Amino acid sequence: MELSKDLQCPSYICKPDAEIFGIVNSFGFIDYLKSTIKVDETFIDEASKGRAPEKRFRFAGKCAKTGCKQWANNSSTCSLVDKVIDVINNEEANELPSCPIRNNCRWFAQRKGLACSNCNEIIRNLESKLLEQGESV
Amino acid sequence: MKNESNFVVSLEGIKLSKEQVASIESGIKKTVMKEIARIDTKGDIVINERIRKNPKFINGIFPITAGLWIENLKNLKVRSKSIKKS
Repeated sequence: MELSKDLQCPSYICKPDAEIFGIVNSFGFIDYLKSTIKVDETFIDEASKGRAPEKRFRFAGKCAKTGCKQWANNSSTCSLVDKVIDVINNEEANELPSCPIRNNCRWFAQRKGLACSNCNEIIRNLESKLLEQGESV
Repeated sequence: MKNESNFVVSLEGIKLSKEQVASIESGIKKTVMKEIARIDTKGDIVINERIRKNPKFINGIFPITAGLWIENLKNLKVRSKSIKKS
């Protein structure tokens, strides 16, 4: 997979035209959809009535590259996937979970199956909780 | 338990105008999107607990792994400290 082509960020926010590709299950892991569902106004209106959608779903959207603080200019890659692998530290699984965005995923393009093996434990909005408790980067 | 849910609405044999078909399609889509948007398993709370109990992250030292991030990190740190104080 070419890193230079338009890839999708698997840690995107809930906004129009983002795509839902996973739902957080009751164990705190991600259940991946067979195909993505495009976020529309109906979804946003309804989702905004409950807890932050990023705590409940995983969204994908176009990788913003240099427009995102996670972008490493020196390597022209997303630094977030490296941090995720470092923190979660799962080994690469023999069999990867089915994922509807893998073919176009920024993280998979960079770190292959190792990214997928650690992606399953990510909930995007956890950082708000962590920040409330005093952070250290 | 994962659920393999397929919903198929077949209206074959009924004469419908294009407008009626579009209206039904729109109504079904809205209902589906609304119901999906209401899903909340509270799995993130489970994860928060898991992190809190993880000896790797004791003393309130947590890794921050934000996603798409457009706020300056320094600003984010200042803001988080003000949240903590208040």
